Amino acid sequence: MNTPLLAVSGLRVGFPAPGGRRLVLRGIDFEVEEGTAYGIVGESGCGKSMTAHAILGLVPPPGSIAGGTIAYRGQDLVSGDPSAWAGLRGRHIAMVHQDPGAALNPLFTIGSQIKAIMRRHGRARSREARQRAVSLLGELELADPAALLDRYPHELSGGMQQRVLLAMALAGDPDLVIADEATTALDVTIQAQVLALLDRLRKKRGLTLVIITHDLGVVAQTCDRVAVLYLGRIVEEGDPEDIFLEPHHPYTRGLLKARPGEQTQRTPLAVIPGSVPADAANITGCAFRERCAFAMDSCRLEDPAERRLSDRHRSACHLEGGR
Amino acid sequence: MTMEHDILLDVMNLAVDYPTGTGIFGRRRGHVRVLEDISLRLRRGETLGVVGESGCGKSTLAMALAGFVIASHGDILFDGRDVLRLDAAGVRAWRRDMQLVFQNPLASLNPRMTVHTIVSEPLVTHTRLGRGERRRRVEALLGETGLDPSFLARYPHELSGGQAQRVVLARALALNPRLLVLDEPTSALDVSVQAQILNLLMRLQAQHNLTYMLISHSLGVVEHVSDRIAVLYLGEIVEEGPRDEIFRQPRHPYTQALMAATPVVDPSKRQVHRPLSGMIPGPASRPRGCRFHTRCPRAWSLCHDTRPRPQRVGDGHVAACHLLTP
Repeated sequence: MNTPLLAVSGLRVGFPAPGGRRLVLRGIDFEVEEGTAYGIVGESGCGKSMTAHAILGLVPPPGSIAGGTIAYRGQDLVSGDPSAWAGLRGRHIAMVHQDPGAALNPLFTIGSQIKAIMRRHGRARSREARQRAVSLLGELELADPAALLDRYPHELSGGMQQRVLLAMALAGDPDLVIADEATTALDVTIQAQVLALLDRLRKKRGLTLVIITHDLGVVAQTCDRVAVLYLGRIVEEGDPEDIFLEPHHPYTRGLLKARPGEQTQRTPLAVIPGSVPADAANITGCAFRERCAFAMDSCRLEDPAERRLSDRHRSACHLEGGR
Repeated sequence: MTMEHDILLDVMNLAVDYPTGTGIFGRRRGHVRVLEDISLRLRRGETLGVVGESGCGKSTLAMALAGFVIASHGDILFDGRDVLRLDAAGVRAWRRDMQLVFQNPLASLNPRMTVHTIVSEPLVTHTRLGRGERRRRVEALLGETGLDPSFLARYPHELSGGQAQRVVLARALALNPRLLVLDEPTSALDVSVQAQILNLLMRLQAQHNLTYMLISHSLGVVEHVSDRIAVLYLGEIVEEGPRDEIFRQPRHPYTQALMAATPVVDPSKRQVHRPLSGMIPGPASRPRGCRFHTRCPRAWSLCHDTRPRPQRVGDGHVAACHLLTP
């Protein structure tokens, strides 16, 4: 296989805490092949967004990367020159955030915000920039793109704002787009439009996507590979068929069973007891064991190493086999 | 068929208008209609799920039931009493019988009050219970919602989202209400915590013979807990009926689109359909004719200028669409 576009290995991110450092990412490994969509799912506090920020080299201070590598086209960014990393941002790796209202500057028109990015990355001179912005907005199926350039963010609906953010992410013509809960705030019919659009862009431009979400359905519908994150660690990774049809890790199984709808009518839902703890540091052994119905003695003693269930399916759990 | 005395809440032709800006001297310049011709019936002990996307009027419906916004038209009968025309004593009784629960539990709790103060507040306002009796009642309420007495002295910021929603529910149950209007009660919670709260809601309903109106954008949540379902689009009910009928045989093109757009976790069932095009119009720019015609894949000339009337399409199942006209 060729070098993956993005290879994250042993990534650890920590924040200073009384008596040492508190790790919010505890060793993350995954690879994203060019032109594919990689899904990262998990509940709040599992480290989804921190993973995205770390890939961009934007871990908010006082946090910092405590170890591991992030290789883009085979080049490690963590040990490399910070300015090289900065050079990738926006131009090769772009990000779409969850809340478009907060990500757009309310004082500038849509057009000036998109054109600024194009100029910043040398993708177009001022004269061409307007033309390119119009065609980009058209590509995102926004009606009347030329008029849209002169409007302000507050004049647009949430769905339109989200498309504008996507246009801004694409303005630098990146190879990799990280979408962090990019469709969470949208209504389902609008979400379906944006997801279909991302899929088309992936096919048309050869874009690579990392889709970060809490919604298992979104990942099942759009991704080629899926990682389930729990307390700063990937507990299971596989193809969508592995994760959704033959899940191995009790956390993955619990998440799938806790989803209401489809055949659960008015019966009590399977529940994962408790909630995600704030910190993994106080838990010995497996971080999930206090909420796990299958916890055994060995779970208390050691944090399970990753096990390969098949070529493309791995799980960090002491339980034998699949199910 | 349904007997009149089975009906706890009867909403008839309800309409709500919001003023659009005020002119000089505070005169109203105009208004937009955010709910139009809403008729709904809730039987005792059942759950009516109300689904729809942003701007469809879901939350306004909850506010209108609580009297926080004034209805422009229509009647709301609760147990035969007209709640839009109550005297002061009647309003107090209505406030006890009907309780609202909102989406963000932490925003519903006063950050300066302890859990004990929060849950006992309705008892102070509406009952003559003494201090000791109140404390026992609060402890019992917390117990019912799955919180032990150690929570009494805590402040909202010390609670997780799921715990905060349990406190909100304990407070809502304090006065033995008969109807709970739940506006996106689990939308702010993680999947695993959402499952706990949905289970709790179903248990409380069985124990107290509660009637629920559950408002949500999530078809999964609504499918799980509801007996009947009403689908709202731009302030109107486009389809209403028994849960199984709505999910197995959705008749309105909007209901069908909503279901097709909801991502399922089975990767072998990837969506091949083309999603609905266009944006959801705002209430101020509601299209004429059928409100859905601007996004409907099957709209034809009649849909552009004539509003479809609700048609009976099954037992207790109605939908408002010209395609269903016999």
